[in-house]
Amino acid sequence: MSDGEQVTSAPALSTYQDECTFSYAQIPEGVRNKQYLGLDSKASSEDTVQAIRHYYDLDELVTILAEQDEETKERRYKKVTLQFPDELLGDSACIVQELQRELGLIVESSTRTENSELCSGQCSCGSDNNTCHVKKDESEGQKIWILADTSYSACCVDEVAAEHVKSDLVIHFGDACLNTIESLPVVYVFGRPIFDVEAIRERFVSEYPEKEAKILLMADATNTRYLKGLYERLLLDYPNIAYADLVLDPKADARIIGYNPQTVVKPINLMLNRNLVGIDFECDEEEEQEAREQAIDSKLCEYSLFHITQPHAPRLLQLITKFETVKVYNHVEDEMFEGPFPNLRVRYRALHMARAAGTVGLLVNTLSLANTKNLLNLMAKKIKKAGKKLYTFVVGKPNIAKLANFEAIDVWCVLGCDHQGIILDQDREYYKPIVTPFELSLVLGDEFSWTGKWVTDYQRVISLFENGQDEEPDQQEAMTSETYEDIEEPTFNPVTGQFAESRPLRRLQYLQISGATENDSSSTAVVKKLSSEVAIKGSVSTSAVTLQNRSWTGLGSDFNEDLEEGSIAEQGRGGIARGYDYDKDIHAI
Amino acid sequence: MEDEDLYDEFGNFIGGNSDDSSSESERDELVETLELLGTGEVDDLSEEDGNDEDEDEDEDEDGDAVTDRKSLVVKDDAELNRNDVLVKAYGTAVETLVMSEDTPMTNEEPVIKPLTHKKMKVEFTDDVRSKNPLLEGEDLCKEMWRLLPELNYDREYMIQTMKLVPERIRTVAVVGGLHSGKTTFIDTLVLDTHSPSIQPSKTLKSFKPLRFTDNHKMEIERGMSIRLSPVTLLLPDLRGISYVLNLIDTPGHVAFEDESTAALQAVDGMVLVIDVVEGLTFRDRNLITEALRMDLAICVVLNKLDRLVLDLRLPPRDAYYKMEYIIDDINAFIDTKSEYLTTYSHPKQVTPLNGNVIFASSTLQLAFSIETFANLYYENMDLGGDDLDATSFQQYLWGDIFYDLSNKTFTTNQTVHPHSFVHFVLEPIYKLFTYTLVSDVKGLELSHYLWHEFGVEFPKANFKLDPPILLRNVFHSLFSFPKVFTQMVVRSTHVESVSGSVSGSESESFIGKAVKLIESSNGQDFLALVRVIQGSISKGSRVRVLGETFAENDEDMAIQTVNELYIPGGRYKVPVNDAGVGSLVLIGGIDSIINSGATLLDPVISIDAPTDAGTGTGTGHSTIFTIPDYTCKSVFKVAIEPANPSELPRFLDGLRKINKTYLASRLKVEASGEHVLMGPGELYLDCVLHDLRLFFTDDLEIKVSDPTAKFSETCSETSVVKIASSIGSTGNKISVIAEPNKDWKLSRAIEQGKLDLSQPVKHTAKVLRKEFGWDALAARSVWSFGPNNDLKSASMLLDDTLEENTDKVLLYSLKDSICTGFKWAVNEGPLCDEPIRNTKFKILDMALAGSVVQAAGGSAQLVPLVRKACYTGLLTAKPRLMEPIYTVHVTTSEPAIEAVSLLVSKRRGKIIHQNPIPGTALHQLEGFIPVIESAGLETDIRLRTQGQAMCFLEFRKWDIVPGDPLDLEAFIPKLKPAPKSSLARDFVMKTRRRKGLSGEPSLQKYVDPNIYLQLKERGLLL
Repeated sequence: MSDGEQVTSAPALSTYQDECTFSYAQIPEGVRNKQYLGLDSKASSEDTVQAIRHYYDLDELVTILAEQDEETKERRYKKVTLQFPDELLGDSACIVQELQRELGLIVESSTRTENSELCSGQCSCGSDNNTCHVKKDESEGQKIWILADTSYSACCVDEVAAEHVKSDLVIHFGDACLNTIESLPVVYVFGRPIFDVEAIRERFVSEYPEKEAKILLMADATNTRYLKGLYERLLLDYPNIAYADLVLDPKADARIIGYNPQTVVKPINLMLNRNLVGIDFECDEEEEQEAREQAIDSKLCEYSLFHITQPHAPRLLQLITKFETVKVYNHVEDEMFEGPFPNLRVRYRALHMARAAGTVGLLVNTLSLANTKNLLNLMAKKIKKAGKKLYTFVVGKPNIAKLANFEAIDVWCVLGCDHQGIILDQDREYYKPIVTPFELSLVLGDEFSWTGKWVTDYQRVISLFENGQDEEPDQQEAMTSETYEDIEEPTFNPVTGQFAESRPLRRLQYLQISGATENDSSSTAVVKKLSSEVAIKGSVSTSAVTLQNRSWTGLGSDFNEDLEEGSIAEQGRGGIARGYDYDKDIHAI
Repeated sequence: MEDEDLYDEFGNFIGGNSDDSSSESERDELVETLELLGTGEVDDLSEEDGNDEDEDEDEDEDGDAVTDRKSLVVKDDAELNRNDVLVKAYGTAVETLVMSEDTPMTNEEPVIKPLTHKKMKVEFTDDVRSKNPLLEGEDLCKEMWRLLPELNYDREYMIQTMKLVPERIRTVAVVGGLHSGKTTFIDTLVLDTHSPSIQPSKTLKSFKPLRFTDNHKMEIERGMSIRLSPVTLLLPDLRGISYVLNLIDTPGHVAFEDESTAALQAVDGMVLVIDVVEGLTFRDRNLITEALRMDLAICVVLNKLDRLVLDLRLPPRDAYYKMEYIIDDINAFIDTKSEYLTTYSHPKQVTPLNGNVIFASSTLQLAFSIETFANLYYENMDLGGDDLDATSFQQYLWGDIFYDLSNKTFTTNQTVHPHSFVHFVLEPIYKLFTYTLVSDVKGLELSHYLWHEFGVEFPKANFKLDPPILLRNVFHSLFSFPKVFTQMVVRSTHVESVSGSVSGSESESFIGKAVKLIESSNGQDFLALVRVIQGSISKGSRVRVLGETFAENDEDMAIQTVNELYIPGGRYKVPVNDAGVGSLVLIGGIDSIINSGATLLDPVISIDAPTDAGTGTGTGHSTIFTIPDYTCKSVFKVAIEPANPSELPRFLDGLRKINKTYLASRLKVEASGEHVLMGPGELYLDCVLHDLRLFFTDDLEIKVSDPTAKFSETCSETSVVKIASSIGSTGNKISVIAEPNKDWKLSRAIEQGKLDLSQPVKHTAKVLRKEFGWDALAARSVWSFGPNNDLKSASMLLDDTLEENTDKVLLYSLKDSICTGFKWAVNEGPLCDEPIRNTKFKILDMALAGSVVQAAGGSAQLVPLVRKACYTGLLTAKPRLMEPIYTVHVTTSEPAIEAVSLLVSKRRGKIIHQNPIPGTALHQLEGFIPVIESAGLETDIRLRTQGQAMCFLEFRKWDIVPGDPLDLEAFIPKLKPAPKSSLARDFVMKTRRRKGLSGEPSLQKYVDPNIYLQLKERGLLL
C-alpha cells in the first residue's frame, strides 16, 4: 500500500448491523417438521408434546430435578439452566413447560396453551439475547432458565452463561463433547434419535467386505446409545470389531439421561472422550506415559473408523490422524460422506507462518475446558520467551470480520473445544493463519519438527510445553546479556523462500530500544534511528507500530474530518445483554 | 573369540551386513572418480577416519570402554547401577558406559562411529581445518599456503600487484554455450601458470581434459560445469606486462543461466567462447543481450579451430568464410538490440581488427589473434611493402582484402587472389597441421618447416609423441596462449572503471558487491564471492551487509565480521589479509542474510543520510546494487518431503542451503502443505536434489513427486455480464469485470518495471498514453498490478467507474483495501488457486448502502468483497487455464530432424524454425513445447536419435491450455492422457484435488443464487 494515499475513513469495529439484522425472521413452513421426533407436519400439538417427552426422556429428568436435599428437604437444584444447540431450540419452550408442570412450578393454567403453541416450533430466537428468563416461583425455590445462545461452541457446557444466573445445574441438550467440566454439575440429555440398526448393519457389510478387518464403530454422542446393539450384531461376522462408548469423567459431577454407558472402564481405553470397547491395548499401565501413548497410537493406526453421523471439522481432522482410514456415514440421509476431508498437511504452511510471526493472538474460545487457564498462562510465558509479542482475546463465536479487525496480529492461536471450537479455516478465508496450542508448541521450539500428529488434549499440550522448560534459565540470561551484535542468524522460511527471523522482535531495532532506555549514553545516531519506533514502557508495541503504518487514522465510527478535536470518550454500557447496568434495577430479581 | 572376523579392531561389526559393503563400494566409487582427477589428494579422501592423532585417541577411548565392560560383566547386577563409582574411578573426562550382556546390541550401529569427513568437492585447501581443528589464525593460513600448488610466478608478487597496481586487474566472465570449451580454455591458462604437478599423469594418458574449475563431484561425473568458478591468475600480455586476471568460469547449459548471470554481475567484460563449428547459438545471443544490457565489454573466442581442420576438413578458404559468417552473425545480432546500444560504452562491433576476437583451440593449446601473426611476420619475414609496420599490416589481415602473390601487394580485387587472412594466417596453420600429422618419427619435414617459416627449433624427442600431443607441443612452442588471451582482455575491458575510483582511494570507504555464495567442500559453510568496487577490505574488519530486499525493508541488514578472506584459485583458495579495489575475493562469515546477492558497505557509511555532503556519490541508496531476478524462469516444479517426518529439521536445513547455493531454485510451502521446489528445468532440479540428498544432508531420504509445471489462470473474453457482488446483508455492492490483456508489449513493460506504480500517477499515465495508445482517462485509472513478486504477464486493476454512479471520493478512500482484495484474488485464482495473469480487472461501479461511514466497513469486509467481485468477473469472462511454454532448441544432424519433430509434436509441441548450420551437416531447430509435457524430452531425443541431436529447453512464455476448464462434459479417460479438448479441465481438477480444494470451480459460489439461475436461463453460462 502506498503511503501517499491516506485512507481517512474509520473501520467499523464490529460486524455490520442494520435493521434487517434485528427484523423478525419468519420460519418457513417446511422447517417446522421435526423429523428427528418422527412426526409429520400434520401432527397435533398433543402428539408433539408426547413425542418430545419421549425423545428427551423428560420423566427421568424430572426425577433428577425433583431430588431433595437430605438435610433441608428442599429441592437440591434451585437454579437450573437448560442449554440447547440452535437446532433444538425450538423444543425448549415445550420442554420447560412440561418440566414446570411436572415439578409443580406452574400456577396458572392459562399459560399452558400459549406455550404448547410455542413448542411446535415458533420460537423467535434470531436475536442474540443470551439468556431467556422463563418462569419463577418463589415458593418452590426452583427456577428454570433457557440458555438460548451459547457463548462458545454448542457442544460444550456453557459455564459462563450459567454463571450469569448463578445456576447450580446445567442440563445440556443435544450432541456434546463430554469434556470435563470442573465446577458445575451437568446432566446430558442426548435424545433418542431414530436409528435403524438393521439398515446400518447392511450398509456396513457392503462397505467392508473383508471380515477380518479391524474396524472401530463410532458415532456422535446422541447416537452412541445404539452402537452397542450394532456392535453385538456385527460381532458375529466381524471378530475384530470394536466400538466407542460414551464415558464420563468420574471426577466431574455429570450424568447422562436415558443411557448408561459401561461403567467398568480401563483407563487405557479412554481415547478421544470415548471408551473404546473391544480393543485390547497390550501395554503396561506402569510404563512411561510417552511409551504408552506410542503403543496406543500404533494400535489405533491399524483400525479403520466407521463414523455414523458427520463430525465437525476439527473432530474429523483428529480422527483422520488417528486411524488408518475413516469412513463417515450419514444414517439419516443414507449416504457416505465423500470428502473433502480436512487435510493435516495444509496446516503445515500455517505452522511455518506462525514461526516467522512476531505477534501472536491467543483466541480463547472456551472457558470451561479443564486446564484452559493453566495452558493460557504457560503459553503466554513460552511465547514471550520465544521473543514474540502476545495479546489475549476472548471473543464469543469468532468470525472472519471479528478477527480481521486486529491487524497487528500475525498469527492466531485458538483455544477451543476439539469438537467444534477450533477454527480450521478450510476455505482459507481468514486473513491470518490460525493454529492450535499444540501446533504453537511445535513452532516455539528452537528446532521445528513435524510429527504428523494432531494433539488437542490440553493436558498433553501442557506437558509438551513443559518439556522444553529445562533450558529456561540460561535462555533468560542470554536474552539479557545479549548485545545487538550476537543476534541469531535468521532462519529460513520455506513459505517465502526468504530468510526471516524466527524471533522477529529480537531484531536490531527492537533490541536497541531496550538498550537505549536502559542507558542513555548511546550516540545520537541511535536515538535518531529509534524515533521512528513506538515504545511503550521500554518495550515495543507492535500494534502501535501497525497503527502508525496504517493509512486510516482514528478509532470509532464517528470519525469526522472537519472535527478538529477528538471526540470525548464516554462511559459505555456495562453488564451483560440480559441485564445492562443501567437497567439492572428494573430486572432486579 | 571365534567370530573375530566379524568385528574390526574397534569392536565394530563389519561382516555379513550387505548395507555396509554397498556403502563401502559407493565410497570407493567416489574415491575412484576423484582418483581419475589425480588430484594427489586421493589418499586423504579415502582416509575418512581423520588423521592419525584422532585415531590414536579413538583407540584410547575404546580401550577404556572395553575395560569398563569387562569389569562390569564380572560384577553383580546390583553393582551395575553404581555408575558414580565408575565416574569417580575414571574421572569426568572419560565416558563410562554401564552395559550388561543381556541387552541385545544391534549390529546396525557401530559402537563408536568412525569420524567421517564429507567431501563433495575437490579442494586442496578446504579440509585443512577439519584435519587440524586446533589450527587458527596465522598457523591456519600457513598450513593452507603450504598446500597451495606451485606456480610459475611468485604468488606474493601477484598479491602485491593486486594491492598496489589495481589498474592491472581485469575481471572477466568466460561464458558461452554448452561444450564450447570454456572450462578447457581456462585449463590451458591454469596449466601454463602452474607447475606440471597439477596435471595428474593419469589424465594425460587418457587424454581427458583437466577441467580444473569443475571441482564439484557432480560436475566431474557429468563432465559439465554446474557452478560458476572463479580463478585468479597472473598472466602476461604480448608485450610481457603482467596482469592479474580474475576469470569466472560459468556453466554453458541453459538451465544454469542463473550462474552465468551472477558471474556477469561481478565483471567488467565477458569472454564469449563460441564453438566455431556450431556458430552463434541461442545461448550466445542471450548472453550478448545480457552483456549489452549491463554495458559489459564483449570479447569473442572462436574456439575449436582444430575441428574445422580435422573434423570438417574445410579448405582454408571455406574455413575463413565460416569464421567470417560467425563474426557477421554476432555483429548483425548486436545491431538488432538497438534499445541497449545507446547506452553501450564499448565497441559495438566485434572483429579481429578491433582486437576483441581471437582464434583458439583449447585442446591444442592454440590461440592467436591477427596481431600475433602480424608481429610474427614483422619480426621474421620480408613483407611486401616497405612502409608497412606491424599495426597497419594487421589491418590488412581481416576482411575482404586479398593478397596478390605475384605483385606482393594487397588489393581489394577478389578475382583470383586469396584472402590475406587465408594466405597469411590459415595456410600456415593448415600446413602445421599437415606436417605434424604426417610427420614420421624423425619429423624432418616438420622441423624443417618450423625452422624456416617460424625460426623455431623443436626438440627431437617430441617427434615420438602421439600426434595430438605433438600438435599441442608444436603450437605451444609457436604461440603463447595466455599472452594472446590477456592481450585481448586487457585491450577490450575498460581501465577507467577501476582506475577512476582508485584516485585518492586512501580515504575511500569499502564498497563491495556480493554476487553469489560458494559452498565449502563439506557443505557446511558458505563463502561470498565479492567484487571490491571501492576501498579495500581486510580480514577481521566489519562490514554492513545489505540484503536483497533492503530497498523495501530496511531491516534486511546486518553488521558482520570478515572471518576469512581468500583469493579464489579454482580448486584452491589463497588466504590473504587484505584485498584492494578491483579484486575478486571470497569472504567468509558474512553469509547469514545473503540469499542470492548483497551490497557490502563499510559500517561507517551512514545509509540513512544519502545526501551526506563531502563523500557525495559514495553513499546513499544509489550504491545498493540491484540483484537480478533469478527465479523468473523457474516454472518446472516438484513437490518434496522427507521420507521420515522426524527428519524435518535436517530437511529444512538442507533446503536453506539449497536456497543459498542455487540461485534459480525457488522454494515454497504451498497451500496444500507441500514443499514445492521450482527450477528452470529438469536438469537443474536433478542437480538440486542430488545436493539436497547427498551434499547438504547426510544421505537424507526424500520423497519426490512427479514433475509438473506452475499454472496460471486467465480469461479469454470480456465478462458477459456485470454482476454486482455483495457480502451478507451489508448492502455494499461492487461490480468488477474482467477482460484479457491483448497487448503483449504492455505486459513486457510491466514485467521489466517500466511501468512503476510507485511513480506519480501522471508519469504512469503518460507512458500508457504515449507508448500504448491508451486514452487519457483509462491511463490515469490504473490502480494495481499483480500477482505479487511475479509480474510476468501481469494482471492489473483499473478503476472504470463513472462519477454519476459512484462516489469517487469514497472509492478513492477505500483504494488500499480494494487493492489488497485484488492482490489476494490474483494471487489465488478461483479455478485452482493459481495466480491470475494477463487479465484486466475493471471496477465498473460501487454502490454503498447506508451512510458513508457504515459503508466504509473497514478492510474486514471490503477485502473479501473485492476478492469475490474479481472472481465473479473472471468466471463470467470465459476463464482459461495458462501453462508455461518452453522454447526448444535442438542441434541435430539432418537424418534425425524428422525423429525430433515427431517427438516434439507428440508432446503437444511444434518445431517452427529449421536452419542449417553453414559448413556443417548440422541443423538448428527451434520450436515450442509445453513445460508440463517436457519432462524426459531431452533423454527421449537423445535416445531416439542415438545421440545425434542435442536439445535445450528454455522458458519463454505463458500460453492458454486448450479446452474449457469449466466444461462439465469434458471427457477425461481414466489412466490415459486426456484428449486435447479436455486438457484444461483435467489439469484444473487434478490440481484442485492435490491442493485439497473441494468441488468444482464455479460461479455459483460467488453470486446470488437467483442471479445464477437467471444467467443460466438466458444461456449465458454453461
